[in-house]
This record gives sequence, structure tokens and C-alpha cells, in this order.
Amino acid sequence: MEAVVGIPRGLLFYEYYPWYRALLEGLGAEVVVSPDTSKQILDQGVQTAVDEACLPVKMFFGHVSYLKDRVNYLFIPRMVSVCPYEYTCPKLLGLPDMVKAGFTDLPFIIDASLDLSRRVSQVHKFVSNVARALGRSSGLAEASLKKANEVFAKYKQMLRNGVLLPKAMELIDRGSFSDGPGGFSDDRGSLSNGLTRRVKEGRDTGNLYPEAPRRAESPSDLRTIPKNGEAADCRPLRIAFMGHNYLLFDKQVGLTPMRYLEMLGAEIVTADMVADTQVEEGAGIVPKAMFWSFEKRVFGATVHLIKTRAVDGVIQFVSFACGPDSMVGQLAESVARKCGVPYLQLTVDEHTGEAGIMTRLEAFIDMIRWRQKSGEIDLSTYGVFIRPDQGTPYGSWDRGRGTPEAHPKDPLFRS
Amino acid sequence: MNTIKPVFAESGTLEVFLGIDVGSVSTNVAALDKHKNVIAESYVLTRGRPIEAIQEGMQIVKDALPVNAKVRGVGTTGSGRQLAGVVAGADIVKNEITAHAVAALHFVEGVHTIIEIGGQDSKIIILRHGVVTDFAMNTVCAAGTGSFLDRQASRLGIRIEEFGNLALRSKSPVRIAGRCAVFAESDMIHKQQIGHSLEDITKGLCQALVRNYLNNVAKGKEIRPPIVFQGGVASNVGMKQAFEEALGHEVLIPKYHKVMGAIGAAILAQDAVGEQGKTNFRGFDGVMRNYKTTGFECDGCSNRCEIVEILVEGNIVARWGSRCGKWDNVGMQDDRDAPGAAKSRPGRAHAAG
Repeated sequence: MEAVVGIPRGLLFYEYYPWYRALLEGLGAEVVVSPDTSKQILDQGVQTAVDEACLPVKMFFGHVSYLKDRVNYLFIPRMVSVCPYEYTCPKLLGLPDMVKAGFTDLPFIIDASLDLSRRVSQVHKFVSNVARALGRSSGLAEASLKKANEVFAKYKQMLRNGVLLPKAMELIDRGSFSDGPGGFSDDRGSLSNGLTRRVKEGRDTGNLYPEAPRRAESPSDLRTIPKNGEAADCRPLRIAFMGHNYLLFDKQVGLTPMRYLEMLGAEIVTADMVADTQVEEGAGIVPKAMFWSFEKRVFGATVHLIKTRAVDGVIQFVSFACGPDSMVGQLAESVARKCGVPYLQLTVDEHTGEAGIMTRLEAFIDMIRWRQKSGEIDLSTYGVFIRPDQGTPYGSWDRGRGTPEAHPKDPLFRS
Repeated sequence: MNTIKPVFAESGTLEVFLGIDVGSVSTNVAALDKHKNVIAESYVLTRGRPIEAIQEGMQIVKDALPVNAKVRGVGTTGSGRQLAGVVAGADIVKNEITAHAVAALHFVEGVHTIIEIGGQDSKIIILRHGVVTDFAMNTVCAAGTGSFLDRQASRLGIRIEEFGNLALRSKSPVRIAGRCAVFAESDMIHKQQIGHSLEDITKGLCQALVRNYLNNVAKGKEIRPPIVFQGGVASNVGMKQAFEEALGHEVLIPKYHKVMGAIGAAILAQDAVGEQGKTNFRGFDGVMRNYKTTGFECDGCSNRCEIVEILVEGNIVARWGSRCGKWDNVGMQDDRDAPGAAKSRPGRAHAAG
């Protein structure tokens, strides 16, 4: 009988899907992925998962219930560590056990452990365990690992180049690759090529700010408040939309706010578009090494984007009851505040009413445009009044050009 | 600044700009002349029927306006702003943050901090040099907002209007947990059962709500005077006092604190319409027409979006709620162009396509 392996569309699916798929197909399995999260899937998840779990875990349970009667294997690896000296969230560590405890009629669960915390070579043990579960040889496992790594490298490169995740996954599934940017659809180029290049390189090579900041006659001049529909005429704002990929790119959760932001005239920048070295550099501002891989990526990328002024504002998109994000969100907020970059934290839970989210997004975009139009772009809410022509507390660097120097008195930026 | 001084245009008509703020608890309408003086206002409870509340509020404002008043522009805000925008024919539909900031700036020049506590949400807006530089709203929980105060007042059998005065008479307020409305309630019951006075409990509750607001909504924000406190809860003198004690600064409450969102929407409408511009206002008679809302679940895909339709005398004038946007313009017609034209909802057969 051919092995039909189901991959639930949730949690680390949004990080490793191309790798998972190439690996399993290399082992001769047919891969089935559950569809985008729908209301039924969400309802199923809420009913089956423990009440204390966060929303992404509940959605994962929904995807498991969708798949469990359609496949003869479920691929729920125990991803303990994906990088030396770093770990994943405890909920990911215990995921296979949580799923097994939550259902009685499950197909065979492939729950091989991946633990690279001490040795990267442990990945070979992981693939050989996956192969054994499917009744395949270790030799075949090695070959499919090689193939999977190749596919994954190309996929990561696409993300770095500014292709948004859903588009990159679609291209990988079709076996094609793209250097260029991709939006939610081809006809809506959401991220311009030039922009993503600049973000990637971490510095401004062109004229990012074509309009010189103009000071309104009176600061409270109402004419500076953007009117409806005006967004389309303005220079697009670049907004860092930061959070876990499984939250950002889930159809029921993050995609609608992201589309709405695009409608308001914003370009989305995600953590995946920031290079690893810059993530490391950004995360390095905290005195102790961060040991949560995915949160470190989000935090490091946020710091990088803020310090290089590559974005006009930062939106942190977190799930209610997310442990790691409760700390990372606070850290990122303090960095944004010190640099005078507008920051908004959006917390989501099960409710499907979107009015609250839309109100906050609209107000956030209004605020940024209002601040920019009145000429007080870098107005710090911490009381330090900054003008683009007067430098910043982090040294005198021109906005958007070069990397700011750390302020010696600022413990957060002490290197 | 707040006095009523109707200003007559050359032609003898009074130019009026309307602002409508449809909140979860109250629906407020304000009418301003072109010099931004408040001429009429209304505050009615929404009671889950926003369209009726809008019509009721508009009727009150219409009756209060002089006969020579002519509406030049309409703005809407609040959680029901989209709906109000359709019913009234708005020139601008804006979020509450911007509307509240604009209104506060009009009344208190140089305002640095706005505390706004409404029926179901609370927010803080930080302004510097007349520009919003930061804001925050309560997250997933509505503890510490007007609805909770209302509920506690009715549980204690006191009118909400007296709640604040009662708190002012407190000698030694009791400590009440403010993190969660459920915990706060059980804490209050406990304190009252062991014999604390009503005054001390109400004051304790005000302090708990202020503490919760400052630790939750206003967390990390630099609260600088002048501080303006607006929204329905600003009527509560106990809350004002608790804020002043906690912040160490005077807290200003504008005369029209209950309808500040509506005033902001009216100011924005004036700005949107400009000096000579035309308004989309349907007219007071247009607002009073028979509006109905219906809804259905789209079965076009697995999203199962809940679509809301707004009908005027049988014609669909607006529809929203679909994630893909396909329903937003289907079968829509401007009722002003084709009055009385037969129109029914597109059938499910289309939905599947």
C-alpha cells in the first residue's frame, strides 16, 4: 500500500513545508496537506484542543481532525531544536503528545525528534527515523535529505528576495522559483523589487524618501490628516508585520489584516525578508543570547528594520496567551519607542469580528501619515525631539542611510 | 469657546456639519457650525439596534437645529461607522482614534494625553505638537470600561450618575482587584459582605479601574499634561479623582466629553468637504427611511463569510463582510438613482460560482 502522509497546515508547516514535502516525497510517500484554515477547521480545533492552548495550537488540532481519516500517516515531527543552543516553544516540543492525547482514532503518527541543540549532525538521525517509520532505507533517507535541503535553500532565498510566503510555497509546489517579488496575486505587486533588495542589504542604496519632509503651517493643521482614499496617492508606507509565520499567513488570522494594510497603501515587510546575519546582529542587542529560534528571528529582524529605518512602522502580531511573544513583544516595543518608530501590538484570539483589528490598523496608518505630513517624522514619544536633519540619539546618521551607531549610554544598545 | 453662537452665512442659512459616532453602548450625534461651535448634540443608547439609534439621534439633532440650518457635510466614526456612513451618506468615515484626537485638539490646545473610556473599549492617545504620535487600545478584554461600571452600579442598586459622588465621600477606599472584571466583582462582593461601606467600595473600584488602565492600556506611555479625559466614563467624578490621584496632574474633562467622537467626525467632515465641496448627505428624510439589515452565509468557499446587507425600502445599498470582496458590489444600486426599483438578493446559485 502506498504511504499517504498528511501534513497539517499549521505551526511549523509555515516554516518548513518545502523541506517536509521534499523529504517525504523522496521517501516515496504521497503528501497530502490540509486546506487553508476555515471556520469549520477552527471550530474543530477549539473543540478538540485543551482550553489553555494558544490559538495556533488549536488551529493545528483542527487540521489534524481534517486529515486523520484521509491519510494513513500524519507527519507531526517533534521539533525540539532547529539550531545549536536554541530551542523551540514548549508547545512545539510537546505537540505530538498533545495530539495523541487529544484524539482516539488517529492514523500512525510520524513523530521523529529533531534536536540540533548540541549537534547539527542529529538531522541524519531524524531523517533515518522518518524513513524507518515509512519502511524505507537509511540510504534513501540521505538522498532525500540532500534533495530537501536543496529545495529549502531555494525557498529561503525566495523569501529573502521579498516573495511573500504563500506565493513562495505555491511556486515551490509548482517546481518553479522566482527571484522577483510576489504579492498575494501577480497583478498586485505588493513589494517592489527595489524595496526588498534594499531591505535585504540592510541599507538604502537609492532615494527611499523622495519627498522632503514638509512642515505644515500649524502642527495641528487638519489638512495634514489623510483623507479617505488619499492613501493611494501617497508614497506607500513600509510596515514591518512581525510575528510567527503560522499566525501571519493563516487565512483566518493574519492574511486579512495584511490585505487591509495593503489596501491602506502599505507595503508589507516580514521577518523572512531580513538576512540571517542581520537577524543575529539585531538580536545581539540584548545582553543574553536568545534561545527561542523563531522568536529570535522576529525580534532580531524587528530591531534591524527599526535601527536602519527601513520601515515606517512596526506591527507586532501576537496570539493571546503566547508565552514567548509576551516577552519578545515588550523588548521590541521598547526598542521601537527609543528610536521613535511607530509601534502597534495587535493581539488576536478566537473571535472572528475584525472591526477591532481594522480600527487599530486604520488609526495606525493615519497616525504615521499625520506624523510624516506634519514634518515630525522622528518624533519620539519618549520626550526626545528628533528631526531628520538633526540626527538621532543614536549618532548623527542620515535617515535611511547607513547603520545607526549605538548610543553609549543606552544599555539596550550596548554591544 | 463652548458657547453656542450660531453664525449666519450671507445667504441667511446656517452651515452645519454633522458627526455621528456609533459606539457599542451609545450613539452620539453632534452638529457644528463652520466655526466648529457645537450647536446641537444627542446621546442615545445603541441597545444593539444601531440604525434606530442613528435615526433617533438624528431626529433629536434635527429638532434642535434652527430652521435655516443646512447640512454641508457628514462624518461618521465608532465601531458602527461603516453602517452609519451608509445610512447618513457620509463624506468621511474615520476611526475613533483620529476622531477623538481631532476633537480634543479643538477644545484643549496643546493637549498631550487623551484618556478615553467608552462603553466597551478604552484607549490612550499620545499627542505631541498637535499630532498623534502613539496610541493604544485595550486588547482582547473589556474589563474596566463603561459596561462594567454600569453593571456594578446596577448590582449595588445605585444609579450610575450617583456612582462618582458616592466615591468622593469615601474616607478609606478598599483595595479591589482590577485585572479582570470577574475577579473585581467577586472581590467587591467579598468586601461588602465583611462590612465595608458602599462609599469605600465604589472608590476602591474606581482606583482599581484606573490602576488597571494605567498598567494595561497606558503601559509604557509617557503621560504628560495637559491630560484630557473623555468618553462616557468621564462623567464619573470618582474616576476623574482617581486618575488625578494616580497621575498627580489635573485631568481636564471637556464639556462635551460624551460626544467627542461625534464632534471629531464633524470637524473631519468639514475638512473633507472643503469650502465649496458637495456633501453626500442623504438629508434628514433620507436618514429616516426604512433601513433593514439582513445577512447570509456565503457558501462559495470554505471561509463561510457572514455577509451583511443594508437595504433601503427593498433596495440593497451596501453589502460587506466577505473576505474575498466579491459581494461588495454585486447587485448594488444607488437607491437615490433608482427609487423603488425591484431588487432582490442574488440567489445562492450565484454564490457557488
